[in-house]
Amino acid sequence: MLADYDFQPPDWQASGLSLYAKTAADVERALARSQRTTDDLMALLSPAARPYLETMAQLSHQLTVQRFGRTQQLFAPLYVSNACANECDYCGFSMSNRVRRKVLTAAELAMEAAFLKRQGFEHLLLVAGEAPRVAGVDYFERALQQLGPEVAQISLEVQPMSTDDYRRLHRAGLHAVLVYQETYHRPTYHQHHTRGNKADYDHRLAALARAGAAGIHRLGMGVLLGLADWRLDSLMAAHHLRYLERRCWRSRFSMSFPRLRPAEGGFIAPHPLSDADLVQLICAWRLFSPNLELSLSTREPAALREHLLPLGVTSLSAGSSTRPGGYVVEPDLALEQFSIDDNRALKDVVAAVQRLDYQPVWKDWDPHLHVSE
Amino acid sequence: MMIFCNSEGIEVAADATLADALASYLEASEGPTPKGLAVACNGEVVPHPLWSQRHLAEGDRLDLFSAVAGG
Amino acid sequence: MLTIANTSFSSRLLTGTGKFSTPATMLDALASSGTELVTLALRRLDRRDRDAIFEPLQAAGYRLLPNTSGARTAEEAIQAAQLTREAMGTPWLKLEIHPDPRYLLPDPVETLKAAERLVQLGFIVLPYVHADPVLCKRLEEVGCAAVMPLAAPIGSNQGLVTAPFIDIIIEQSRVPVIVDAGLGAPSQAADAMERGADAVLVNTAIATATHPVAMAAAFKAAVEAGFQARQAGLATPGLRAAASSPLTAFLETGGDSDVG
Repeated sequence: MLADYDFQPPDWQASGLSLYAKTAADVERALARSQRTTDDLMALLSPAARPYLETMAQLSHQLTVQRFGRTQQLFAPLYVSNACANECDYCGFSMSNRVRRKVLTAAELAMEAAFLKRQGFEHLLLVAGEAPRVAGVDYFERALQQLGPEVAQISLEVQPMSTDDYRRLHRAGLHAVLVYQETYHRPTYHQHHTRGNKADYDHRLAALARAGAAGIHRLGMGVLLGLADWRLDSLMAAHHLRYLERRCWRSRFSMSFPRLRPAEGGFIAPHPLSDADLVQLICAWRLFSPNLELSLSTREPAALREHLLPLGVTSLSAGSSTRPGGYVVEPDLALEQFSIDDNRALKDVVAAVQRLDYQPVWKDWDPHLHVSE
Repeated sequence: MMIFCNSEGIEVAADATLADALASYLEASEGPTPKGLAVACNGEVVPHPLWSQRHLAEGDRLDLFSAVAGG
Repeated sequence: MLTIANTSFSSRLLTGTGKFSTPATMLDALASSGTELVTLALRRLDRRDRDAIFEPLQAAGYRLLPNTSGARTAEEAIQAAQLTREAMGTPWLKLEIHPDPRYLLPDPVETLKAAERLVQLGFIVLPYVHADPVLCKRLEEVGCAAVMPLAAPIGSNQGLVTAPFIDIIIEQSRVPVIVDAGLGAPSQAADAMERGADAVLVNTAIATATHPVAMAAAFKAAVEAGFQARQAGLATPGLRAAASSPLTAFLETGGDSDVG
């Protein structure tokens, strides 16, 4: 009875009318509450909340420190493949792009992981384009078995899978599954995802519920900011989160804030976000969900990341390369998925975190609590 | 023959059914089957429709339960 | 409408039938409470002192929610449930297992075990439990139709002493949450409803009031008021002033690629 993956976001236009009708009084009411509903979030995401940005930031900061302490989790993305059978007009990995495709071999994977491990990383996020034929569940299962003894936490940001496949990967030690819906607005989704499995909106939408049903500990959500109206898209994500929280109550959740960057092919974001928009968004999420992990990637410039960090962020990617083999195997080739703005070496990121009086956390979960069979 | 209703011994006819024994025990020789009752015969619940078909044997133990007020 | 196991109820007040001075007072109080779902128990028949409450309750059209009080283990509860279904002709069941005779506190381990089995046997199971959010999710997962966390020790009239845990249960639950036991005053029932409970169950506070019929009406009004207040969106205390050094000043000092 718990296998009903029936979530659909509420009506986009009707939600838009409600959201843009929110007033200062609605925002003040939302700010005054101790627990906030999706209706409160609507107010906090609305233009009416902009004059309250500093108040939102203060409350968000307090709540975050209260729930998470002064810590920042650090993780590194490890791109294992840029092969992709999808066509997504904003992404450098799209199959029609004439770039060389690479899938890391076991030996190359070991080299990349060893490099990150030497840097101090204990939490790796394996990232791949969506090409199940060359990097499918068998590939990731082998990768988990191979890296498992070396790394405390391995997360996966790859194609959506079936419950059975997620179960296999869970048994192989997978910690987290990240599947960003990119946009909850169906027409926009279809406009940007034109070919391949990713063109199936509903299959992607139900992926995290499947991962949760398979017992995955952490489920990562995200909206690709810039594709559609960020206020509405984030509201839809909030409904999705509430739905998932009730079903996957053994899992925790994280939210990422990927803001569209220039990619191969010169894609221009149709609905760009300003820095102030991003601040409002991060604070609104924190006020809506005090326990949610908020994750910031290296897409954002260093100076901005330092300003955003105290606002509610709890995890950071650092020292990142966004191409397979980018750390040590082939460090000079151009196969990037998107360009990285925060080019500081890891030690600079760590120093910045410490300067802001936060403790870097390399792993927050220890596989040694699991007794092997 | 002798059977037991809630541990109390009662005498019933040799061909008595569970319904007969119940009527005898409740001193309700006629009228409808009392409502809100459940009966187990030798530890096994006997559904209402079978009460008049279930023939008893010497020494059978009937456990009788009824609805009472409660929170 | 409150919906439990595909059955709809207009009233969100469940009442017990115990502790009233007379059956007539009990029936009058139930009528005054507007309840549609009432609990009752099963006991070994005493032929000299028959408690004739089943037929009047049935005749008045209440849906019956028999409980398994008296059961101290899962096995006893399953046995009691089967007798109950037979006696009262309903698969609805308030599952309660309390090995502790002094406070009648529910046994979580036996309750989960019994619930799983009873759902398989076709019962509509509403378990009476501690306000334990994890236990409530586990009970939901084995197919319980609702959960009935306690507000306070039964009969204690202390109100929502488990409020922080009830809040979490309400936030997480996919089945109706019926706050049971310990609600001593209408204001406490309203509090539970304002917090988002789907219904409350009240027995002692009505049955032992000086005027049970009037108290039943008061609970009815309180439950409706609490529910309506929840729907209306409760007002909140005033906003705390913001403090300390500004966190968003950087947005005004240039460097913002403002495109919005």
